[in-house]
Amino acid sequence: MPILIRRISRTQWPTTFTTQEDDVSADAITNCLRTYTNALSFWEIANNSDLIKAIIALVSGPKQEKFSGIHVVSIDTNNPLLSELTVVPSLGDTTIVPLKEDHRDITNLTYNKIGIIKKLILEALINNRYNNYTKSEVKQIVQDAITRGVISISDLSPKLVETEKLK
Amino acid sequence: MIEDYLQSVSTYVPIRIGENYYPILTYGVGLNQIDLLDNSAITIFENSQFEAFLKSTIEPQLASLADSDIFEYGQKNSCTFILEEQFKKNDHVACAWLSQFYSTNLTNSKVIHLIAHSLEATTIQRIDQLTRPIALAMLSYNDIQIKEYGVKIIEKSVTTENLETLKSIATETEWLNDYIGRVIHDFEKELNVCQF
Repeated sequence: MPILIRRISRTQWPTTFTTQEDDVSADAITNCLRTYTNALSFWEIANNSDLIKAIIALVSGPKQEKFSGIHVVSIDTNNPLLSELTVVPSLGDTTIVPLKEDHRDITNLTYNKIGIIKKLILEALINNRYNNYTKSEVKQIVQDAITRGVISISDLSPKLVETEKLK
Repeated sequence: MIEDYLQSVSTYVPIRIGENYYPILTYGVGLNQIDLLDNSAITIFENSQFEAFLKSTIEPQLASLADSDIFEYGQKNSCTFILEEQFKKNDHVACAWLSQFYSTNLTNSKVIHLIAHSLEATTIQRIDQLTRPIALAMLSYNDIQIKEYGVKIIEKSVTTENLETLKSIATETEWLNDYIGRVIHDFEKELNVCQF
């Protein structure tokens, strides 16, 4: 079953929680779930073993000049809450062309629907469907992908390659 | 903007070298003649003018950005670009000014977030070196977001000094402790520190 991956700012979500109904800070909604044209960005992967594909997509935006630690949550696409939302394919903001099509938008978001996404994220945190990677781990993931020929160094922004000394 | 400012205060002054005078472009100096061996007057004048510029022009810009800038970890925002420009012009004055700006805004979480984000996002190593005391100060914040920024700024430079700093961070937030532990592991691996 495919999985949706969303980058979060972990600091804006509660440190202790018990259910998906728990309240969250306004910043979690207005900053971490900041929408553009009523849509939120996700990356879709086939299964958990593909998680690094989503990490590579997330850190390879055209504006990315350096790596940084990253926090992500995973949401199963068979989660019943998702049936209330509209998930559509859209081209992702990555310089790696083959990954662009793995991007999804949840569209037509409203106040209530953002509340559903809040529940999905809290549920992911409660059920340990949460991963974080240090800067060094992110760099290792990308460097391994280059070494194995999964991605080409020329796919990445030159500034990122220079800053992180990728080879 | 800084270019406009410098142009507005620039002037050619004659500088004596041996028996001859040469026109040299300087900034904001109202002197008729400058001894090449004594340029301290120019330096002091430039620094104070630049500091005045930072206070009068850059500070209001940053204050207004605190409400509107975009905060994506690892990505530069408008504030990052503005600060990098100032450090390129005169890093020591920019650093002294930023430290002062930071300390006068200690209770203004929006401004502190803005500075923290910029220091985390910058790719100029010289800024990392000069602003290390600011990053260290962020580690003592109770605000977990600023503390995390402090960790991420320290994480940028793999040094023995930073490894010791990471080991001394105290937080009760489980996920951040876990994160710091893994960064320490990364540092030890990279620095070839024996792990017992």
